[in-house]
Amino acid sequence: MKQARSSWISGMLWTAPWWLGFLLFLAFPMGLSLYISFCDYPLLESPVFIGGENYSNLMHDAKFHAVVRNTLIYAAIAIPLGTIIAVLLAVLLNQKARGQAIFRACIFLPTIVPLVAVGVMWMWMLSPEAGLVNQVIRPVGHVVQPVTNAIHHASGDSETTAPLAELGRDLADGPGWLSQPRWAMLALVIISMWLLGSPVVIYLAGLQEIPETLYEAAELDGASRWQRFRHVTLPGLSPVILFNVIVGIIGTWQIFALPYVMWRTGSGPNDSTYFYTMYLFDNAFRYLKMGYASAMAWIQLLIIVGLTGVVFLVSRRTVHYRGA
Amino acid sequence: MPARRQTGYRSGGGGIGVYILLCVVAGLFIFPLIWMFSVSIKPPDELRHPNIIPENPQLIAYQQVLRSESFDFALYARNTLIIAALSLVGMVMASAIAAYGFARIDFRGRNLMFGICLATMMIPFPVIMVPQYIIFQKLGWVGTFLPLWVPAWFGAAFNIFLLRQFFMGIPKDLEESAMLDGCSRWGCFWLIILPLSKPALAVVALFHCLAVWNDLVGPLIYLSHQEQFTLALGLQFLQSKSGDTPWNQLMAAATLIILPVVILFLFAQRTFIRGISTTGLKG
Amino acid sequence: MTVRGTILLIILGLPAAALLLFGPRGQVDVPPGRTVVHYWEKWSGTEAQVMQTIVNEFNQTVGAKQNIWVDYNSVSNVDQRMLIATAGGDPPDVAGLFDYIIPQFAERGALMPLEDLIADASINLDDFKPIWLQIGRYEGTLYALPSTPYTIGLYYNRRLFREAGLDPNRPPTTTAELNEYAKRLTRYENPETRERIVQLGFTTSPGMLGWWHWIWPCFFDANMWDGQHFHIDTDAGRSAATWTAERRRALGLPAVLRFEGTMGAIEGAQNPFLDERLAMVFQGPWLSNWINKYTPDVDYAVAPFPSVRPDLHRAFASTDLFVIPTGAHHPREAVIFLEYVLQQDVLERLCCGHGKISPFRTPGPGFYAEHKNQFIRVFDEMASSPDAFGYPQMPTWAIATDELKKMHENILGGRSDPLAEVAAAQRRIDAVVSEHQRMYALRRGEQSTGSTTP
Repeated sequence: MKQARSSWISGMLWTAPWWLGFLLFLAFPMGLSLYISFCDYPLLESPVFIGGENYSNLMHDAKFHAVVRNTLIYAAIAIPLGTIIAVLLAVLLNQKARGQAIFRACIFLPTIVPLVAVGVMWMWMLSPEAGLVNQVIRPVGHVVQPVTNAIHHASGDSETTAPLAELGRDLADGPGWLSQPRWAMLALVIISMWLLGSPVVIYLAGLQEIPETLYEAAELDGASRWQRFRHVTLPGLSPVILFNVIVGIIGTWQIFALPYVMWRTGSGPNDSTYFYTMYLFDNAFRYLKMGYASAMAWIQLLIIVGLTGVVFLVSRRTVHYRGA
Repeated sequence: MPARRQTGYRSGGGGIGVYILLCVVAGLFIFPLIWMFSVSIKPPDELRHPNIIPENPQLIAYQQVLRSESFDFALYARNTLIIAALSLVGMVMASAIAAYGFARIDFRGRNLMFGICLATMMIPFPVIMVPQYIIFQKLGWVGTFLPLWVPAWFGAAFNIFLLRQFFMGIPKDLEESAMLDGCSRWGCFWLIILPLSKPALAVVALFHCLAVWNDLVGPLIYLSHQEQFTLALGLQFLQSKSGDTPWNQLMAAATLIILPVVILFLFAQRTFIRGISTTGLKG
Repeated sequence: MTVRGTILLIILGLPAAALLLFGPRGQVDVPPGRTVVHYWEKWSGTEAQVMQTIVNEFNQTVGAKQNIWVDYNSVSNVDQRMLIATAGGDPPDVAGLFDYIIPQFAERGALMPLEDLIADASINLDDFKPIWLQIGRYEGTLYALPSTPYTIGLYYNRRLFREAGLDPNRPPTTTAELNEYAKRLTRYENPETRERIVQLGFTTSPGMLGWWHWIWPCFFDANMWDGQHFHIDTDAGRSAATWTAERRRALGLPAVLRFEGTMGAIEGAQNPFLDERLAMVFQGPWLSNWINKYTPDVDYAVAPFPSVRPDLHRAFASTDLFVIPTGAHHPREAVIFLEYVLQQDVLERLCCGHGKISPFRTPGPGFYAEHKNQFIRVFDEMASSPDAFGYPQMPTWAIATDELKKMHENILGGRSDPLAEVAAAQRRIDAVVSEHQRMYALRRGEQSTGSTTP
């Protein structure tokens, strides 16, 4: 009993920086936003309590459904893809090679470019005619297009293969990344892959913590490259992967600034890049519906907590803490 | 000092293949930056052309940026540095201490507190912006640097989470034997955990500097005078609303902004990535 | 310390330390005893410099005499910042806002009515063109005064007109004629298949022009907002939708979409009008600056955008505005500052520096001559038209404009019946407006019994 008490005190002492900061700067704002989510609050006038109306209105809001769908789709593409690419990059950058510092810098550099410049830069990279991306894609498209056209013809120009033919044509023309709804989100995914530097650095640091002895032992056991990756690297990296996946989930739900830099309206062609936090921001500061925005915020919190919970549950079986 | 050893895969086969792969990948990542630099040295009349190598490279955009009255590079850089310097130590130390508490001390309510800590990362900023502004205004901090660096002395959820993950990866037996020898908790933290997690701490420091470097929303809300602006905010003002942005100046300014970080990273990446003392673990 | 560390210290540490110790310091020295007027403005770069010069002049002359010091703050996202500061109870004394936000702020009582405040000042409202005051009013009360106004016109490429056998001195005079011109000005790679467009006559795709996707019904004499209700599913709204859909069908919708898809989206430099691939475009005075800067050889002219009838001269007018927020600490001093800025020679210097038109009925001598935009007279005269219009002055405009964008994009895409789209937009906006009015009434009803304050 006494033991529990003393460890409680010591725990509270150690975590004091965090909870003091929380009480000072976050507890009141978060609590207030929870209250405001039950209010009509146009910012310029004081909040008026209206009960759960914001929440029930959200359930019938078509735009809300659209942004949830967009965000989920984006997360479903960007998080797995980003995790795989970042781990592979980290492993690659962890190889012994002359000038590795320069290679590492190349991968990391994009993350330090100011966002305004990132936006402009990629608008040119993705520019349909002269952009570098399309200069690479167009030759591929010229090979692909006859194939897709042939399939389309073979199926008797049916409705089902029409998108395929369209894809072939888009590739041959060079996709209109910024102006065609079906390509806009993919454009964002490409840019987010380019901005993977931070997770890569975290993975690299994680790789250093895997004891060399484990690799030596595996090698003695005659493990192949892949087996060593699968049975030594991945388990050793798993706490860091868990971290990055959770941070990634949080990050994708909060994607906000980049679309605004890329598209004048932010929401992109036909609202194809209209994401959760953007709609939330619009409600808060453009539509002056802070109550509605706060309700969205708390729903978002629940969604992320739910997703994170699932990830944690899965991680119980797959993440290995050497310190545990 | 222990001999430096490359961990991960031992070298061996695939040397040249790996090298080619590295070059290709690095090229993909670096290309937009080369393009950025190329735009920054283009004279205005070449801006519309997509060529990578300018016909008439000039440094005029850099001169304009450095002399511009509306974008005072040295002043903004100084402001950014001040904020970073005032907050860096606090951020790293506070995050590390709290992370150690969450990682190593088993106390009632820990998981709940850690959950709340994670939740603070998940709440979207727009909805807490207004109440937070009210707090800082009541404190009389609006229009000063204080809101931008004081909160850092209480750590940040992201960094606490990151360090907790690293601390939990360090075997417990080291501390347990030290404590049997009469070492205090603080002693363990200071003498064992911190030296062992230098790379993670360096990563936190790096990320914090980056966050300050790139932070737009904080300065936007709390700073009013152009004389107080940070680089990121100043850059925002280089972009014109009516679409008449001087692209070459924007890119020149961006190049100047990332240059110090490039140097820092090139020289210090070993510290960020490679634990000098981690070899001690393998005894 | 390693060699590496030393080098790092020399390359980065020393300059950083030097910058910290000896670098420039941002300080504004307010002379003692002056009342400080906080002025927030959204302009940046050269636009901000012009205003800063005027503020400095004020501080040295009138300000010195009357003990006022205007503190000019560059605030990007000024509307958002204003909202936060107002909610926090600490708004500035003067702010530069966008016109479409005025109804939203005015409805909530966040702006001070100006007529009484400026009654004693030497600001003569009759000096301004009526449209600019109309934009500053909400429900009859004046809340804002114009700073730098602009109108939007039709830029057309004279060379392409000649090539298409059109008279380069005779721009289209009706919307129907515009469609006719657009057809003649569109060229295809292969005129037989009409698969690929190499030159487009005209487009209203929001990717290619500014933020005016909602505007087209106005040229069909629509009055979208009557103070209570929004009207888009009307003759004018439906005609505009049909006008857009028919033009695109006549040009070949798949080819038009394809052309728009391959267009860059960067403002200024990548505008297809500069490439002479777009023959006519709806744009503001600043397009001239881009043309002068990037492609000075383009032979172009500017005309008012045509309306549905030749005798109707609709023209879109929009302006940046000065407001005094409710809760401003020094409204009296703010008015003295505005009095100074709104002198014709001072304000026109500002407008000229910003490349905008003058808000005055008769621009001062030399305004046109000094202006760097050769077509500034055309833009200025548009604002004098009795049929000129600004943004619909509805408090829910922000939501309505997003709904209208959706409607317009659906019409442009041509996947559904344009008239059905118009009807759907009408329903969505009706719902928004009535919900807003319900909440507003609820709040007014409830506040008499007691309200909650954070």
